[in-house]
Amino acid sequence: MSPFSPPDGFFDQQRADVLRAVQAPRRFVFAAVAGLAATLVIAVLWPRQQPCASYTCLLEATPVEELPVEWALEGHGEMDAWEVWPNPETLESNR
Amino acid sequence: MAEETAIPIWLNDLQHGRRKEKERAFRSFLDTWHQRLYHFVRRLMGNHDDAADVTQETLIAVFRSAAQFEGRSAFSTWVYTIASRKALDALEKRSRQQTIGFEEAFHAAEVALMADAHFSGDEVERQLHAAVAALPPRQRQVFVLRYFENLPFAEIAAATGVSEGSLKASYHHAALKIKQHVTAP
Repeated sequence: MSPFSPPDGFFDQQRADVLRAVQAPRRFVFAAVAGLAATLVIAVLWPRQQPCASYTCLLEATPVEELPVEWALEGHGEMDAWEVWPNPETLESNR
Repeated sequence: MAEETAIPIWLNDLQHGRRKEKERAFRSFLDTWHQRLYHFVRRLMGNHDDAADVTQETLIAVFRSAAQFEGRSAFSTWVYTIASRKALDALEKRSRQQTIGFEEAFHAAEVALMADAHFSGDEVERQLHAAVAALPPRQRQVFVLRYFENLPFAEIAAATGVSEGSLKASYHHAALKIKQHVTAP
């Protein structure tokens, strides 16, 4: 019978620490692999934004505050106010 | 001593099992050895904090190097070998930091035990453990393995790599010093 006794709960705590230490490498590798796989899946499935090819698309894609001021003041505005004008052929076909 | 020589049923899984089997076997190892190792190391180290560190290092080392156990000695001897080497490393590191004589170390250890809330021994036990704590590291290792753990000198020789003759001489010197400092009730 040993006259030494550790603090209460010491054995349970150390047992948990030791088990965690011997399991740690597997969990680390699993976490790293899972993280990499998740990144790849997101990269593949992420919807890519297609450039607008029509006036309607441009209109919908542009936030209101970024619309040319003159255009906003004149109701549906002058199409010349756009700095980057869509392809006229596409624009015609969308009208 | 049948328990000492018998091969634990979980040993094969601890050495060669797959991950899950090995972890299950390690839990069985902890059930049998955790407290026993702590008390062994505690006697060697003289205080709880150092004993906790060495015990933890030993348990992890057993898990990681179980496959290297070749069965040339009893499994218990192999575990004691790991624990006592780790304890000895820690003790030698500590004794390099402060070199004091036996008498001074004995009195310091007695004072520390009196203040130790986790020591419940009587006066004789306090003197005994203070004297053990005052021994030089290698004498302490031999004394604890022989006197408290009851290991035969042949197994201590296997655990420490020291000849039986040298071990017996070390044990004799240690026992003599201890007898001089323990007052019979």
